Amino acid sequence: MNYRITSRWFNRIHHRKGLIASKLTAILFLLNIFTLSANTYSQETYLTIQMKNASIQQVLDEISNQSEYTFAWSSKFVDLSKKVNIEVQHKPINRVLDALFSKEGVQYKIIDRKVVLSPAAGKVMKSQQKRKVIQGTVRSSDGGTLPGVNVYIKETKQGTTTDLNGHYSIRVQKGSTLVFSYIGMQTIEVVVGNQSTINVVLKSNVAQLKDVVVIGYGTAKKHDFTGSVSSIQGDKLTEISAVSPVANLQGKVSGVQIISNGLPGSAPMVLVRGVGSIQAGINPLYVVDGVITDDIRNLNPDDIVSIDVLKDASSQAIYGARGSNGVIMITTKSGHAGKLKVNYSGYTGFNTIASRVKMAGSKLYEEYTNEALQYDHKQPAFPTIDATYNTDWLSEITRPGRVMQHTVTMSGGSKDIVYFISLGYYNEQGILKKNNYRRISLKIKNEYYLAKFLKFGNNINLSSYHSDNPNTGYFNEAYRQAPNFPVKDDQGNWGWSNNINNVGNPVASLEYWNNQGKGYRGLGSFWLEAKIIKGLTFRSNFGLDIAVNHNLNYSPYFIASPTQQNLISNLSVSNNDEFHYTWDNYFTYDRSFKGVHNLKIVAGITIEQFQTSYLSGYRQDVPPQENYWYLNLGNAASATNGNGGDKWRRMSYFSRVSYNYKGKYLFTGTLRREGSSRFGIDNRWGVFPAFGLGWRISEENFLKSSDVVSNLKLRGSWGIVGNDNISTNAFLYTINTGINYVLNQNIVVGSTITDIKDPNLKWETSNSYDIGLDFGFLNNKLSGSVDYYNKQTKNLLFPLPLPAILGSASYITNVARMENKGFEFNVNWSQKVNDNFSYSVGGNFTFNQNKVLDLANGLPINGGSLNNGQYTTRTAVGEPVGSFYVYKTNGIYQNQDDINNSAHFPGAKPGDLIYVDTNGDGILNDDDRVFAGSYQPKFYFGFNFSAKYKQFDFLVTAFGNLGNKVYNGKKAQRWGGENIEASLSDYWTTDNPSNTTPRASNSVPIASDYYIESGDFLRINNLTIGYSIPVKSKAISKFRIYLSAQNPVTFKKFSGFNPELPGGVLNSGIELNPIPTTAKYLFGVNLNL
Amino acid sequence: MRNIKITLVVLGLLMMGSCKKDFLDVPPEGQITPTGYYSTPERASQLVNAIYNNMLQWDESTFSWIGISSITSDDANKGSSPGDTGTDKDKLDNFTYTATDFSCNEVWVANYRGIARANRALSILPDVGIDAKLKHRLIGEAKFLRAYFYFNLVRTFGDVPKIETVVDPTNQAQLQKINVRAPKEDIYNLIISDLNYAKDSLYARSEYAPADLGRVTKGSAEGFLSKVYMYLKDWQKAYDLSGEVIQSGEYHLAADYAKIWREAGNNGPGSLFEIQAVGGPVNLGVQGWAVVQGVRGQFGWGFNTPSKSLEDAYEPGDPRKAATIIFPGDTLWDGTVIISNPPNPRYNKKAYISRTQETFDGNDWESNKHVRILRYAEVLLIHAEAANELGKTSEALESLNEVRNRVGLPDVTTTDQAKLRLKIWHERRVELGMEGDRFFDLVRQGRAAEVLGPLGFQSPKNNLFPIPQQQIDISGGTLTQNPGY
Repeated sequence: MNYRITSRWFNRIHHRKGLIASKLTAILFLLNIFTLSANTYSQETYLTIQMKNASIQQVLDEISNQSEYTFAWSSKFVDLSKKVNIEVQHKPINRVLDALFSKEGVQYKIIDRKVVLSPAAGKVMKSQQKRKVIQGTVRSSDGGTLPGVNVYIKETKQGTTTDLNGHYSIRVQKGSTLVFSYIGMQTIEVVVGNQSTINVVLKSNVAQLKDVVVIGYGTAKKHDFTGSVSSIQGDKLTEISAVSPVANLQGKVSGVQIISNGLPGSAPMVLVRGVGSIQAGINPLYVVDGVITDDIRNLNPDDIVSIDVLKDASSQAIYGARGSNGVIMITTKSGHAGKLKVNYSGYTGFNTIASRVKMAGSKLYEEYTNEALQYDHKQPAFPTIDATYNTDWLSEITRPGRVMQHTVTMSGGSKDIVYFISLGYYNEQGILKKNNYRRISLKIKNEYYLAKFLKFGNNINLSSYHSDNPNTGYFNEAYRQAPNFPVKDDQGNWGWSNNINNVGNPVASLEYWNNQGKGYRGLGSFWLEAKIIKGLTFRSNFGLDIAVNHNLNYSPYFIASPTQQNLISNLSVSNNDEFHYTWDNYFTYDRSFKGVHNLKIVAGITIEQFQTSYLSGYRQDVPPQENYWYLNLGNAASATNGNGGDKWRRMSYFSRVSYNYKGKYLFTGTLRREGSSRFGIDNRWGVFPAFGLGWRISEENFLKSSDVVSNLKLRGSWGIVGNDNISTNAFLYTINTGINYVLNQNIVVGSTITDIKDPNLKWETSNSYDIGLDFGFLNNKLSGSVDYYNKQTKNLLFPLPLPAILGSASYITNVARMENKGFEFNVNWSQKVNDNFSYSVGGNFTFNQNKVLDLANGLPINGGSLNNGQYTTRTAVGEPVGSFYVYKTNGIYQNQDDINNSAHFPGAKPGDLIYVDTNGDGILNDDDRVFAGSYQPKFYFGFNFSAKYKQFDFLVTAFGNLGNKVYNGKKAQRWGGENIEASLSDYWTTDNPSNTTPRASNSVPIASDYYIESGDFLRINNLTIGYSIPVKSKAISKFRIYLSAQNPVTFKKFSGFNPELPGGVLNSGIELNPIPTTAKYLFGVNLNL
Repeated sequence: MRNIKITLVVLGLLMMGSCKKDFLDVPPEGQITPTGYYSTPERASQLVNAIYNNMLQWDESTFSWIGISSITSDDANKGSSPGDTGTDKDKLDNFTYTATDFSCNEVWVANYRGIARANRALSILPDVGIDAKLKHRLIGEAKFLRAYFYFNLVRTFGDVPKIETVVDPTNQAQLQKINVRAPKEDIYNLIISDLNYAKDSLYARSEYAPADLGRVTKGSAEGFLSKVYMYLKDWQKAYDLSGEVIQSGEYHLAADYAKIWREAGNNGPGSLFEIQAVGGPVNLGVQGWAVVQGVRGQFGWGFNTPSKSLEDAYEPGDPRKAATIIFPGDTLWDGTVIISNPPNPRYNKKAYISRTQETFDGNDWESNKHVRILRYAEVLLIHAEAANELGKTSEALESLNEVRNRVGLPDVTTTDQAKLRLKIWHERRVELGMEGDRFFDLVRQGRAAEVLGPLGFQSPKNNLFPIPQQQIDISGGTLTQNPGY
């Protein structure tokens, strides 16, 4: 075999292109505007193929590779294994196909980018004599006719295809079965009875479309890939309208936990297969069209076509340095050659609070407060109970916020260029008053065909945002403030608690708080791709991530009350800029030998530099008008400023070899050698190997013809990945400046070396393996996968506690070990019940167990401060990171004798919680604390159900978790005189000897399991019903309207506002600042022209 | 076309090969590496300024230290609201604190941080090529401050590890060794040796350039050393050194006691050592010092409130009572009216900052408040105490009465040593009220159990505070605990 290919393009782009092409094609056909686009593509594509002794199948594959054509045929009547010789130079497709099929008794039709093969008319007619004629029309579920559908008799394999109007006619014996098949659609079989007309409706088969995954520096066919990757395609992503593309993944992917507080512009906490680090960051790496970054809030979700999550080491290792927390590959939309297409999508709606905690009214508050004071031998604060005012502070600081998003995209292209342009606008008002976020995004993605072997592209995502960021601590103020005074009194003066507590008037706080952020971001790449020789491609990709941010904080002069005032106005501003580039240069060699040995090698080098700097300033006496918020208008004598920067680099050599034999036996090996400037010269380089093996059992002969098993793949992988995400000079002794003093009333500069450094700092490394099974049954109606994984992370960067006599409490060094292991399970069932109704049900489930295996000197780390001197978590060997570690309670002291007869804290009174002396040493101290669960769930899951009935579509998705604990920190953080929850009305008194609710008290509660609650919840995070309006106009291909509710219902055990409590590694799961769940209600439109 | 392809291959290989290994040699951006940096007088001074800076830190001078040095005493109560424990200030108030309580650890950590900064300076300064006199002065300042931090530690904990050099944390053997608690006599010897060096190398107050106002002086070292000797009951040396300060003529009592703790009294004639601060427009001060003691409900958190016992200790007509204690409803010197219903009956006036008559930029976290550590009045009282112990009664009376006369109180005339001792001790209490010496004085005077027993003090356990459990844990048990904890 000797064939030569001169313009085989871009594997990575191709597969994606094919996917889009099929979908777009389907949509176009559905709406019967076929005539508009037919043949437009073929006229623009020229092919050069020189192949000898190649099978027709191979030639067709080659055509697919060079173009966007896809082929539809039935192997039952077209023999594609036949060997042919073909040699065409720069010819349109019909010339190529003529050359290929002229002698083969095969006819073809080109319908946009789909080539339908069928037996030549004469052949079919000959064998179909003496039978009845059946005719009919094949339509899509949207009602559009489908041309080019294969229609054949199951028993004889003879058949035809539908014409341009979706009409077919075939001679067939009664009792035979007619099969209707079409690429990208579900196959339908109909038994022929007495009827002479059989009309069918074909449904799109989404499952078949997801055949490609995006991996580092390339793509892989999902069937051939040995790693564990979860993919979400664009249509699944855009079902939910959210500000961040990542938030859209919530509940959709096994092994990925996304914890979000839902505030506009906030970044969610994303955990891929558990908490992977303590000190070096836990968030995954994001790769946007090949450009690595750590924040994708700038992207418009509507611009994204797919998200692939690389979960196991064998797929992460290609990003060796930073893969250990998982890699989220984002692919944005591209244009396609053809006529200009214009799409609009948008929605508008509002944000509202999904659930509240009922607070005490004034009467209960005053009674409780008086009672608490009485225990401290104080006069009642409220000699007469006066419930004149009953302020609901949460309502006073919140609102229904408006939300809207608009996106217009334009795409198209010719043989020299394809383009995709998208303009997006997002505007969200948070539930907290003054909390706003808006973003304008512009995306320009072009590809230029410079020569037959040379292609250039640019992909630019520009965005600007503006945000008003009120201090979310005002939720806490609203929770705590007494209800018995007004926001403002009759004279217009701010209400205050008159020293009963230390809490400000939340409405006043909000009124005088001004924090604004705005910024610009450019994320994108320029690339060149060249075909060198057959199978070998060189690609150079220069990626850029540039950001400029500006932040302003202005505090005006105000006196709201004697305890809430600011006597000198001040303005703080800061600017920071970031410049981050990556430059990848790599070769890809992709060849198939003898049709059975499929080899793909990627090898290259990448360099990366990150540079940032900030400049900040501060002045006092700046006037209050917003247009005066500039430093120059303040008091120059009060000016201070700051300026600093950071810079680091990485450099890596990487390679990946993928081989499979007949698509049955799969192997992938990856090796990355990475250097990072964040380590000293002797520890700079790390080597990160990985490999994976796969066996597609369903390709074996004993299963290949099975009607039940459509796909079965066993795969396993092992690998080592690293993490260097620590501060830049953690290994280097540097001088700390700004350790200043005052002499003669002037500030004088001080400097010294304060931090202890470990010059031998090295990579965190995760050693993990994964065993998985992918399955599809009943023509992939039932599909899914199951994985077991085990990830051991060693050399974890950790602040090792030092004897304080050294002058520093800790230093960062590689000392800890941690383990995450678990199961993941995905399953999906899709079925078309009849022409009008189809549905799909899916679920994903993850069991993860996190455990600290070793801390260098065995000393635990406490965390989870309640800001009142109480800590709540401990990270210790044998326990999950950040486990709750608190006193154990056992009911309530009913009398003084009980107190005297047990270990108790000084000052314990009847009505107080009984803390258990767990070690029985007769005294209560830290040794009596017990581990009481962790914020990390044992089990988390997501469900989705979607259905289509005629023109209606319906979607519901839900997610949740089980087995984790949350700490009701807001309730446990009391300083006295603050409001209480209504549920405490049953508090202990001598007349009401409750054994569950302690007495009224102004004391800071001890951190105990009394405040630990179950974190289990199930949240319906999307409920959407849509209607596609049938439009006769040829100008409009799709016009859908929908109503959507997000987070409308949460089933939870937690008595607080929101069981989703993101935080630091050691401090999550504590509801200290109660931010309520935001629910969105939206009306949206999708319009495709 | 073939040429173009070849060019591309070559170009690609060049691109891949052109990245040199030194691409990763990134000098620390915006951060100074130590080599060769400390080579000028200004930069050498920076090392010492950074030690002073430790005095401004919250954990060194503020909440925990106030808790241990003042709330424990009979001069002060925890204050604040009943439920607000200030982490463990309630336990300090009633002597129920344990080794795991927060304040002990903070005091430990903060003072050793200061010692580490001093050790760092002392490791670099001898090799810096600057004028010898300046160099010795800088070393003297570093040693003075190291002595100050050790004095806090030895008074609080007794025996503590003695660290005189920069320690390599990776050297486990050395770590174990230095973790062992040195007898308190060794610590006192280090303090004395440091202060002797400081005494000989520091400039007299009048010798400093105006720009250096606030640095420790020869007088600071002599006065401080006399105080150390008083704790050691080395009365002759305490007498001699306090005498040297008196003889130097560099210091005298400010006329108006009430103004000492105001901005107008900053670095006044009687100031031997005070923590410097500036209230604005660009502020730098002792973190939180004023606000934690501010009138609760009006200015601050209201901790460390003067006790009834202290209020009652002042003789009739002693203006120092009004200069030390704020009462609800008071109209203060700047016209400010104190609210009538704060949760506590008394507040610390020495922590009061005027928002109208003093430099105040709205930031009460780092205010203009200088914290007076050593005043000439105390030197006089040390002199009086030492003289009395040495039997030099008339000198003792002279020094004592100088302090009394300043506030218009009549002379003490007793010549009975024991009675005079009590008079001097009493004078210390009211003169230095709320200045953080009362608890240590009571222990030093051997009557802590007698005075503080009703408040929960147990002898000998509470003469010392517990070694922080956290530090014992980190040391792997090398650090030992004080008796009773």
